[in-house]
Amino acid sequence: MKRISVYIISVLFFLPLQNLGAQFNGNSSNTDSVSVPLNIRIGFDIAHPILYFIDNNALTIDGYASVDLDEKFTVTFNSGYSDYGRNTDGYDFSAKGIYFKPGIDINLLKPQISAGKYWGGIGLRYGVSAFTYETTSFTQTNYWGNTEASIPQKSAIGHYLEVAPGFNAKITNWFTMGWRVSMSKLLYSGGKDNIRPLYIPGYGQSDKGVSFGASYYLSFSFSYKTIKAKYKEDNAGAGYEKYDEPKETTDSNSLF
Amino acid sequence: MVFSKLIGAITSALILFIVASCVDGTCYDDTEAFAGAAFFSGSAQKSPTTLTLSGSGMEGKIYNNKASVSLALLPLDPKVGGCSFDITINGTPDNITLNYTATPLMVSGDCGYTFEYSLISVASTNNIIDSVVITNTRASISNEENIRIYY
Repeated sequence: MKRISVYIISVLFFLPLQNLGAQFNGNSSNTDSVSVPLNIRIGFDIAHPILYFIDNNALTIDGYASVDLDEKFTVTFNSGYSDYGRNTDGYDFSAKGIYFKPGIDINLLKPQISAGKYWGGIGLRYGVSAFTYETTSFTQTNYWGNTEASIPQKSAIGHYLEVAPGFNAKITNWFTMGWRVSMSKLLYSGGKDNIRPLYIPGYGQSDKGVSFGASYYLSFSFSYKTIKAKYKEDNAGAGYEKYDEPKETTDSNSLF
Repeated sequence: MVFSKLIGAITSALILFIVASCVDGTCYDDTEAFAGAAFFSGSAQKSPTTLTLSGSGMEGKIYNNKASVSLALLPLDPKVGGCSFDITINGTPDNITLNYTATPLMVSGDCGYTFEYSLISVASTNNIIDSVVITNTRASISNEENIRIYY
C-alpha cells in the first residue's frame, strides 16, 4: 500500500516541474531587474488524506498560510490536526492533537526564473504539537505468563525542528500547487522517558531519530504587491547559456 | 547551477523518504527486563558448578542443572509485586524472594511495550546461600547485575 502511495505522490511530484521546464527553455532576458509579484497563499495538503484512505493509521488535516516578504524569503505558518491509531498484536496506541509550524521559506531560484510564479527551495520550521495519547492495552508474555496492562491518557506538548525542501508553481493567477518532503528532528517528546508517546501529531513516529514526511499542497494564491528584483546577468542559475548576438564591429582602420 | 543543486537536494530527500517508508516493522531489540543475579564466594565472583532455577510453583525451569552461569537472569512477574524462585546451587536447594515495583516501558513502535522493575528488597533461605544483596535497584532490558548471591 505504501508503494502505491509513493507512486501517486511521485506522479504529482513532477507535474509542476513541467511548467518550470517550459520557462527555462523559452525565456531569456537582457535586463538586470525583473518584476516579481509577491504572493499570499493559503493552501491545504491532499497527500495525507489520500494516504489515510490507503493506510488508515493516521488522519492528518494540514494547511498553511504564507506571505512573500521579498523575492527570496517567505513567512509561513503551517498548522493541522492529526488522529493516529496503531493496533498491533502487542498493543493498541492512539494519539490526537493539533500542531503549529511557524517558519520561513527560502527560494533558491533566481528572481528571473521564479518571477513570482515558481518557488523551489527549502523551508525551515519550528514545530509545536499539543496532543493527548494513550495505550489502551498492551500485552507482555514471559516466563510467568501473559500480562495485560494499559497506560491512561496523558497530555503532552512536543517540540521539533523541520527542514522541508520542495517546489511549487503558480498554475493560474489564483491557484498554486506543489509538493514538500520534510525531515524533522525531535527536540522534546513531551512524555516521560519510559512511556514516551509513540506518535506526535505533525511530527510522526517519535521512536525514530528523524521523521520523514511528504505533502502535496493545493493553494489559493494572489499577488498583493509587485517589486523590482535585481539580479546579475549570468546564466540565470538555470543551467542554460544566454545567447549573445554577434556584435557588428566598426574598425576605423578597416576598409570594409 | 543553483537549480541543479536544488533538484539534487530534493531528490536526495525524496529517496530518504521512500527508504524510510519501506523499513519493515521487525523488532530487533530486547523486550524483557530481567533481574541479573551474580554469584560470589567470599569477595570473589564464582560461578556455581551447576545451577537449577525455577519460579516457585512453576513447572518449567529457567536453568536446569546448567554449568558455569556467571549471571543468572531472573524473569519477574509484572502482575504482582514480588515473586519467589527455587534455586539449587551445586545440588543444595534454597529459595529467593524478590519484591519490586513494575513500570511500563515503551521500547519502540516495532517492539511495543514491556516492563522494567525497581527492586525493593530481597530475602533468601540459607542452606548454601549466605546472603543476598541488591547492588542495582533498576532491572531494565539491558540485563545488568542487580543482586549478588553469596554462597
